[in-house]
Amino acid sequence: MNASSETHTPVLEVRGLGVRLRDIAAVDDIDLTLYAGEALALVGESGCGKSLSSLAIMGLLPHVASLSEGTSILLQGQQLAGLDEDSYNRLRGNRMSMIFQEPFTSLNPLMPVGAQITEVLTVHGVPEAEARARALDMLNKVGIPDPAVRFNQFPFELSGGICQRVMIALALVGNPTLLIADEPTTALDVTIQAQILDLMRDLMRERDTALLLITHDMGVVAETADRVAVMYAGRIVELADARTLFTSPRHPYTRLLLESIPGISTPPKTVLRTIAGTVPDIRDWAEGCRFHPRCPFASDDCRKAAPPLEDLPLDGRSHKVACRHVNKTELL
Amino acid sequence: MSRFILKRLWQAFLAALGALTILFFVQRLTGDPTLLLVPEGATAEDIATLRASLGFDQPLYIQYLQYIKGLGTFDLGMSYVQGVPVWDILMSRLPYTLWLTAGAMLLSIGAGLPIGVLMALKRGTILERLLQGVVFTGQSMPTFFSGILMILLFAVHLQWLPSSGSDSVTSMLMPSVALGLLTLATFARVARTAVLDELGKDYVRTARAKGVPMKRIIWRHLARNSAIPVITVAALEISHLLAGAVIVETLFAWPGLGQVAVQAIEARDFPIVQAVVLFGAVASVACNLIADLLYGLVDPRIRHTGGAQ
Repeated sequence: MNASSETHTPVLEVRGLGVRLRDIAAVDDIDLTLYAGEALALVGESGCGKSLSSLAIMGLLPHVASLSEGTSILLQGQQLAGLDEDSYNRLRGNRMSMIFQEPFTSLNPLMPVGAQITEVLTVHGVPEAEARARALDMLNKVGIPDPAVRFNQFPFELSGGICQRVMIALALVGNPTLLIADEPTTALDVTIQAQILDLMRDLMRERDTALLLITHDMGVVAETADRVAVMYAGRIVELADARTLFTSPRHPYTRLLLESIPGISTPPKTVLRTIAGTVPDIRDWAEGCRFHPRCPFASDDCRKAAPPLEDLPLDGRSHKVACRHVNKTELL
Repeated sequence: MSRFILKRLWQAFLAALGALTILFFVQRLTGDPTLLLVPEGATAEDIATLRASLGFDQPLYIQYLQYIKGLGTFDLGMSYVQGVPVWDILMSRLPYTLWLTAGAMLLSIGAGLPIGVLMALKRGTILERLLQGVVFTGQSMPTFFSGILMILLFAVHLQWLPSSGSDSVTSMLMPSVALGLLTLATFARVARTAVLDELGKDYVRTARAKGVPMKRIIWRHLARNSAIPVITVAALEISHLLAGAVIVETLFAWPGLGQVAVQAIEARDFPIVQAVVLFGAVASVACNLIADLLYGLVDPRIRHTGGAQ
């Protein structure tokens, strides 16, 4: 992130985002700010609320889930919380769009892929002929060979990687300012993963799109993100630029998480670190700091109250951590 | 594709032949029709003569082979009772049954599908409960019961509609509704399930993420994806409607095939019964074949795996 973007209005400004699953708070008081051309990764294990957060921003929460009171979601200054479906429809596909995990099932099996991309534009008032031309052009841009042939094919005639390229084309054809990608490469082969990530990054840079990347894969984060927000049990526990987070993580959870991943320099047969315990079920989230049952530094304070997400800048760079024992993390 | 159709036609031929063979022998277990045809006090000699002229003195397998031979030349035989070619009887009554079935089908699809879709979209609301009530009622009332209730209400009490006959369009109304009610309920149920299934799928979420309004999602995305179960049921239901016509036509004195069949069974007029069953078998096989072809039109995946090779 460069200094000049700080002065602009953020593309996305989320304040106090909460999502309730029936009566359980599944996402708790999350703040996120995202600028044009920037990629922010929202990282965490399954069930930590990262997908719900992204669906909340898109206005696509399942009907058992709802936004908590006091949630504010600003897209280029426009309030999205409480927006009605029609107004949301005018924004989705147009100013904000989303890529999902499963490229096959995320596309309509009975509609040629070209028509599915074209539809993004026609529902927002672009004339049919122009929409088709732009859709075809987009298929070309996402690197699909023979785009004119692919245009009329159905998803079942395409590979998973090509389908995900189609999804990217579909998400970007409307030139959105915000792109949310929820585990965009998880369902793909490793070799295809890198291609898809490169493609997303290139297109996003080219168009100055802001990217919110939801993933559990630290490799994907390292390759794509400018900044990283680490989520644990519905809360953000650490937020820093990617390099800082990887080189000097300060929350015990982040640190343990990173050390549990083998690096290329890890000698063979090294016993990797593990985090004691398991990811808690949403109904068993602890009082106070939700990581305390698995944390080696947990004190009585941690059990009583959740530590706030505080900015503890390092070398002049913002680095937010929610932990009372930041100083001890080095000891791990 | 043509090989696929040929294969289906061959299967259809076998199915129809099987149905006819079973019917042919089972019917002859019910007794000798000559005894019903001869007048009171006929001598044993008269009976023997008539039996011989109808061919009943021949061994059963000879009778069967002759019947099949006749079918091969599109000869359905003569009615024992009326002495008229069965073909003529069939053709004079068929239009009535077709009208009745078409009316019932139109009603059940025209009302059943929207009811089902609405139930899926308004899940958990009072409207869904209300419609569920209608569907349950339709589903749990046998045709002969709902038919009689309708006659009581609309013909006897209100005197809006004729209770029987086939003189005008209005006389078709009650039989069509009575016949279609059950099918309507089936369509509503199937449509509801199909739409609910599809609503939870990822591509619907993608469509919403594209900013596609719900109405358009239903017409452009859901409708085609939920069509397969509806087509399957439609093909089956046409056979059910033909079967149901037997009861409804008797109830409303509607001069269709069903009524002819019932009268023929009572009189042991075998050729007519056989002809009606043959028609039913051919009709249901044809419906299934059409359904198979429609699958391919709706779903390109089936077109690729089912027909082409």
